Amino acid sequence: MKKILPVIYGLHFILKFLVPNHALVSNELIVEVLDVGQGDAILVTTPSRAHILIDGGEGFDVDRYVDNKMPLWTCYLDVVILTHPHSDHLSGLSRILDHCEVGLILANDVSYDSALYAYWQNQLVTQNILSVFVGDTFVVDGVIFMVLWPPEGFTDENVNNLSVVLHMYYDGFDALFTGDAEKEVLGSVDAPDFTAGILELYKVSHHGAVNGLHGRFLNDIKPVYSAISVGKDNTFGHPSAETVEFLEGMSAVYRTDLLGTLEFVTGN
Amino acid sequence: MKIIWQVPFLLVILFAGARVYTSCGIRLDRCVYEDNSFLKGWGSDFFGDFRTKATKIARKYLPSPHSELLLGITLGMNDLKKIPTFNDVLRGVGTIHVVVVSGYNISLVFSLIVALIGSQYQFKNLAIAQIVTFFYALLSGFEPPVIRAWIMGSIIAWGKYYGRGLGALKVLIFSVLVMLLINPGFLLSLSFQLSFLATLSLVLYSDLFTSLLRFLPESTLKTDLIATLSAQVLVWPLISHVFGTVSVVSPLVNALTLWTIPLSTIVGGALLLGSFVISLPRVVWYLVYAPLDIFVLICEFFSKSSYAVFDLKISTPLFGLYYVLVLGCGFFCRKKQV
Repeated sequence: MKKILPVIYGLHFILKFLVPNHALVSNELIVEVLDVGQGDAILVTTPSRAHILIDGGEGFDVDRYVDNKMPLWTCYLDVVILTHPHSDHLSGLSRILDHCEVGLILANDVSYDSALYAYWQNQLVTQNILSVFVGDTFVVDGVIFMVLWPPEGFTDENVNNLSVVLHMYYDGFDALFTGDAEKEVLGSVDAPDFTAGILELYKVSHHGAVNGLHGRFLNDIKPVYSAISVGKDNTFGHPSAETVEFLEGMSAVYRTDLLGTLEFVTGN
Repeated sequence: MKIIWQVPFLLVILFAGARVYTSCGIRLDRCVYEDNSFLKGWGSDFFGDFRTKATKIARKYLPSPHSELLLGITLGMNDLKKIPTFNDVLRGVGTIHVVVVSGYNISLVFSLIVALIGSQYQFKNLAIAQIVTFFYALLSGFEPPVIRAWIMGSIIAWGKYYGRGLGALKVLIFSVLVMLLINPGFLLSLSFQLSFLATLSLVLYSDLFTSLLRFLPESTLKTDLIATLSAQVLVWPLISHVFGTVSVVSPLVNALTLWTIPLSTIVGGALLLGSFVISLPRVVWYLVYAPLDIFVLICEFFSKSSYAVFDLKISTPLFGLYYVLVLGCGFFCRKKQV
């Protein structure tokens, strides 16, 4: 056994380093809605292998996905975005910060009482962090992110309605990420001008719950693909049959509880 | 067994039986099992701080689930519930049992201490090794499998010191009786049941599988396959009865991955301890990342098969009948061999 150990280590090093994935070998933008159970975690990989992580899901599953994207000697994410501090969006991000370096964290300071959020805020002390509001724009490797919600100074007892809503655009590909924003907020979000009037990808709000369904908003955006991030056999009844039926009337609907991680690649 | 050794054995049977009867009743319906009851008031702050710091170190240098695997196999910390998809993978391929501190860890620490301080045939050295392994057992949560392993290891070590060769079966039964004397509630602990059945299965059926697989060339894979198949004989019905599933790929996956556990335990344990003293460069952690990652990759690969696990819940009568028949055969074959 001792004699073949160096061979095993060597093989592992080569296979892990050279394992092809889109980020290593293509010039495309990849958006992955990760299967993290009942929660949200979206990993965007730019053509130059910059990584933007929007939420981290419940638990530490997201760390495995991120580890598979990274070289052996480091873990670096360019931007991490927390839409709102519920544990099914925050837990994985907290784990990521234990392990990886992050260039910039975009997260709003909200009034929310939880041990996890307190631990997260403690982690942020040594990080580069910015708050984001309606009208803010940031660009990572040519990929443009525009903040559609919340307005600066907006407060709501329902933390879901403080979710950061993002419009992402790259080379004719438009995506909308809405966190857990509920219908009363979605009705106030101005649907942006999409390229050729088409929204390719809509990350469905609040795991497909009926309180995330706003008919006028969805009729305004009319996505080509709708991605629902939801856990198998979850106790919340997500996604609601009403939401799925409404979305199937206008788009192709994909669910992480049925299909696992959903991967959207520009150009395909 | 000479009279001098039969007396304590019989006394332990008597007292353990009385303890179980008074605590649990004849139908065992009064039994209560409390997790980690031994940790309360036994320097739990010190051990708690140590485990917290070890967790921070592991999570800084390793991703999940590698960090949780390392903490499980070195310190018995079960945080896999925080990675539900990987937890399901391990259950599906039947390798969830590796993420605990086992008899291997106890014997490893014992061997390391003996290697450092000298021969185990000196009373002082043996006593020191016993105390250190006891503290390690406490540090790793003092769960039933660790307690059993510590008691078994202690009896064998002291038996060797006094020049007595003790049969593995007798040592196992004696250890279990001592555990029931301490806490009859262990009867209800699934980890106790699985640990006992796996060890008993190894003792009774290893020779049978060694004989059946004699055509295979000698290798680590063959040794691990024999151990896995032997242990499965008495373990799979309990898992089926409790969880309602049977893993078809479990023997193969265990045989392919078991070698990574001792390597990860030794290297990972050394890195964790070293990190308490100095800050190690991230690249050094590759030495434990690689075997852990190989374990993860093999488990994930086999879990994707739709034939990896199927639903089967053995009924209680069938469950009882299986154990009567299989244990009967096991003891009978063993007697014939002896």
